[in-house]
Amino acid sequence: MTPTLRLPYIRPTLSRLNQGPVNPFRLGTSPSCPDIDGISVPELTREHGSPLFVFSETALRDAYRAAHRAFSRRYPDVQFAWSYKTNYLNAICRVFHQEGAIAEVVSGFEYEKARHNGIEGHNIIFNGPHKEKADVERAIAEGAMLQVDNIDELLHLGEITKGRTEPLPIALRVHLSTGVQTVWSKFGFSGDDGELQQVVRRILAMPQLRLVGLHCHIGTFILEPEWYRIAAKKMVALALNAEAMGAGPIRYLNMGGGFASHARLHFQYLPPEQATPSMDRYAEAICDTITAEWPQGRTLPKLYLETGRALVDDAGYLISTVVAVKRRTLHDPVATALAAFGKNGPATVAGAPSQNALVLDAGINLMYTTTWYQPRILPVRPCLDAPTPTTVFGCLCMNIDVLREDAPLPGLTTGDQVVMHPVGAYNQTQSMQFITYRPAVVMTGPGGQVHLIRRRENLEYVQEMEVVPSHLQNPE
Amino acid sequence: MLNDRGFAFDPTSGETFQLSTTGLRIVRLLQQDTGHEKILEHVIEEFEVEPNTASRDLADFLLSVKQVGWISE
Amino acid sequence: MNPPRLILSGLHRGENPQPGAGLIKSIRAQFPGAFIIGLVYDAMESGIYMVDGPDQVYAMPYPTSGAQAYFRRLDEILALSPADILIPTLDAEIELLVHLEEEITRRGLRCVLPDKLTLQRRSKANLTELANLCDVAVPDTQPIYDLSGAYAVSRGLEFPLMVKGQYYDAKKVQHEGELAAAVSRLAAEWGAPVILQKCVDGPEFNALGLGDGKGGLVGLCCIRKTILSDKGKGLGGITINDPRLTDLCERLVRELKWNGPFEVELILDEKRGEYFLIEINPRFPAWVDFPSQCGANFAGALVRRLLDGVWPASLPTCPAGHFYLRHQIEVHGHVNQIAELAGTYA
Repeated sequence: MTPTLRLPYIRPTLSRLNQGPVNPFRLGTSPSCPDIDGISVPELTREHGSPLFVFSETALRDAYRAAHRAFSRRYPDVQFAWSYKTNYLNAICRVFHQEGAIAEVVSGFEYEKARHNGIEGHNIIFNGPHKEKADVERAIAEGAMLQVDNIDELLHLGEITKGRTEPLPIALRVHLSTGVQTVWSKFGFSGDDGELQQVVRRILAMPQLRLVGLHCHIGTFILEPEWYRIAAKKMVALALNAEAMGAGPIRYLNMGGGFASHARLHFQYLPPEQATPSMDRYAEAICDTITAEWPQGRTLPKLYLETGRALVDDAGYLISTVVAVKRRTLHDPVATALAAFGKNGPATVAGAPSQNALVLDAGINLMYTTTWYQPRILPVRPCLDAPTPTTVFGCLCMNIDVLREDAPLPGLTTGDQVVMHPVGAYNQTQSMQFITYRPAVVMTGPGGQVHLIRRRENLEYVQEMEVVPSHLQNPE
Repeated sequence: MLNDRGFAFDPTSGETFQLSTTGLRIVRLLQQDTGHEKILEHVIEEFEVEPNTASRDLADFLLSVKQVGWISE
Repeated sequence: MNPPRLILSGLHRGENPQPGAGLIKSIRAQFPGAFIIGLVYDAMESGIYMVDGPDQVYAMPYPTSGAQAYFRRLDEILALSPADILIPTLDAEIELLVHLEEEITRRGLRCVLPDKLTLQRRSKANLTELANLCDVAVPDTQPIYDLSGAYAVSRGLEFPLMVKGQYYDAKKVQHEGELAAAVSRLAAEWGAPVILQKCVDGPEFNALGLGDGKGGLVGLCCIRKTILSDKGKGLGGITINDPRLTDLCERLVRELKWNGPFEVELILDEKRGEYFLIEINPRFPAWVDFPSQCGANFAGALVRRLLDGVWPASLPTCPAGHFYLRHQIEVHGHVNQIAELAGTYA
C-alpha cells in the first residue's frame, strides 16, 4: 500500500565536516519568492513562458516618488530626468514620464525614443561623449539642453551656431575628484586643474553660446553619500567662479546619478539592506551642500538629477527555470589557472571537494550586469534544507556562462523555478540576442494586472534586418 | 557511529560527516542491505519527489557514499 | 536582582584568538551567576569547550548573510534561551548591527554600540582623516578597490606593505606578486575595499578602553607587546604608563565620543619618538581578560552599564609592570557535541 502522506523531499547529501565550518546556519535560511507583486510566479510563466522579465509598476512609481520626495523637501527647484540608457523600454520610460520625469539621453537614437514617448525637446537633457551632427542640429532646433562633453563638440557647436542672434544656452560636463576610487575623466572637463576655466574662457569668446549650467556624474553605484557632498561643494565653487569670469548667471546644476540600488557588488561584504544608503542621505549630501554654499539671498540654481539604477533596478525581476542539476568538482584555482596555459590540467580526483550546480534557462546574455553584481537568486517554492554554495550556470553553450559562482541555495531540482532580483537596471538595454530568443517582458500593475511590454523574440524579428544576396537565395 | 539526526563519525579514520534527512534514510536502507532499485522505490514512495529527480539524486548520493568508502560497488 | 543572561560571540582561541572566551572569564569573575549564551560560526570554535565556558551554544549565519537572517536566527535562539544583554565581539557583527539598535532593543536585549558615522570615521579607510584631526601620526593608509588600484598605490608607498581586510586580517607583502595574492584573498573574504598601509618599524603598543559615549573614558589599559607571533599577533604584553599614549587615546575618544569598548593599535617610531596610529578596533581585544586580572574588569564594567543604564565609576588604572603571556592548552570535547551543532537545521 502506498502511504497517502509523503514527506517533503530534500536532496540526499553526504558532506564531510572537515571541509568547511561545521555550521548549517552559516548561509542563513532559504527565503523563497513565490510571487511578484502578489501574482504567483508559476502563473506568470504559464502565460508568458520562461525565462521572463517582470517589472513592478508599483515599485517603479514608489521608487520615483520616494526619490523625488527626498530631494524636493530639501530643495526648492528639483527636476528628475529619466536616464534612458538604464532602461529604455517605452512602458518603463512612460511610467517615469507620467510621474514627472523629463528625459536624459546620450544618443540620437535615445533622443528619438524620448520624442516618440511624447517628451518635447526642451525637456530633454542631451548628454554623452558622442553626438552626431544631425542629432545636435535637431536638438538645437527643438531647444534641448545640451551638456557639452569635450572641446571638439564645443568648437563644432560654435561653428553651427555662428551668427545666431539669441545665444544658445549650453552646459559643460565636469569630472571631479571626490573620493570615488576612479575619477570618471573620460567625461567632460576637469574641475580640479583649471581645465574647466580654460573652456569657460573660450565660451566667453563665442557670443553665440552662453554657459547656463554645469553637469557632473561622479560615478556609478556610489555607496558613500559623502562623496556627493564634496562634488556639490566643488560644483558650486566652479559655478561661482565661471560667473566671476563673466559667464553670466549659472541657472542649473546637474548632479547626474550614480545612487546605489539594492544590488550587491562582487566583493561587497555586507548585503544591500545594510550597505545601500537611503535616498535621504544622498539628498541631504547634495541639497544641504548647495544650499549652504550658494550665496545668501540669491535664487538657488535649478537642480537636475539623472538617477537611473536607483529607480528601476529593484523593480525588475527575472524568472528562470532549472533545466539540469549537476555536481561540480572544485579544482584548485592555481591548477586551473596553470591548465589554462596548457600546464598539467587539473585532474578530477575522486572525493575532491564539489558543490551543487544548476543550469538555468536564462544566460548571461540577458544578465550582463552579473559582471559586476550578484543578483539574489531565490527559489520559488519554499525549501526545507540548508542553503549551500551553489554554482548557477546559464543556458548558453559557453563555459563562461555563469550567473553566480556561489549562490546560497537549497537543493533544487529540474523544473524548479527561481527568481533573480534586482535586475531592472541595464539588463534590458545591454542584453544581446545570442543563441536563443530574448524572453518576454511584463509589467505587473497595482490591481494584479499583467501587461505585456515586450514580446518574446521570434525568427522573423531576429532576421528582420538581414539581407540574403540573390545568389544565395535558393538553397537548392 | 551514526545518530538519528544524520551525524556520522568514522572511528577508524576520525572523519565526521553530516547527512541530510533523505540521505540518512538511504544510508539506513543500505545498512539493511536493501538493493539500489528497492531504495529508489522507497524514496519515491516515502517522499514527495518525481521519479527522475529521485533517480538522479540517488545516483549522485551513492557515488559520494562510495567515495567515502561506505559501500564498495 | 537576578543574575544577568548574556549573549556573546567570538569564542575561538586558536591561532587568531577572538575576545569571547576572555569576556566569559571576566564576566564570570564579576557576575558568578551569569547565564552565558555563545553564538558561534563553527562548531570548531575552541571556547565552546572551555572549562566554565558558555552555558549554551548556538550556530549563527555569517554577518555577510545580512540582518534579516541574523535576527531570524536570533529570534529562534531567544525563544529557547531568553537573554537580556548582547555583546557583539567581531568587527563584521558590529558593522551589521550598528544602525539596528532598535531591532535589538525591540527583542528586550540591551547592547552598547557606536553610531554608524562614528564607526565609519574610525574605519581603516578613513583612519588618516581622523588621525589628522586629532593630531596623531598615521602611516600612509589607502583603500583600494581592485588589483590595478593596488599596483598604482603600491608604487607610491613602496614595499614592504601591510595589506588589510576591511574588517579583519592582514598580511605583510614584499613585492607585487605577494600583493596580488593578498589583495585577492582579503577582498574575497572581507570584501572591498582592501587597505594598503605603509609599514612602520618599531615596537607595538595596544590600548584597551571603554568610551562613555560623551567623549570621556571609563577605563584605559595600555600595553607594550612583548612577543609577536609570525602573524603579528601579541603573544605577550606588559602594562605601561606613558602619558603620551594615554593623551593620544583620550584625544581620539574625545573626538569620536566613542561609546563602548575599543582597542587602539599603535607602533612607536623610535627614531622620531612618535606613536603611529595603526588601527582602531570597535570591540574588545582578545586580551580583554588580562586587565581584569590586574583589577580593571572592562567586560564587567560594560555589563554593569547595561544592567544599570549608567556607566559605573571609572576603572582603576592598571599599574605598569603586569604582563601576560598567551598560554595555549587543549580543551576537551566529544564528537557528540559537534553532532549537536552540525544537525540543528530545519
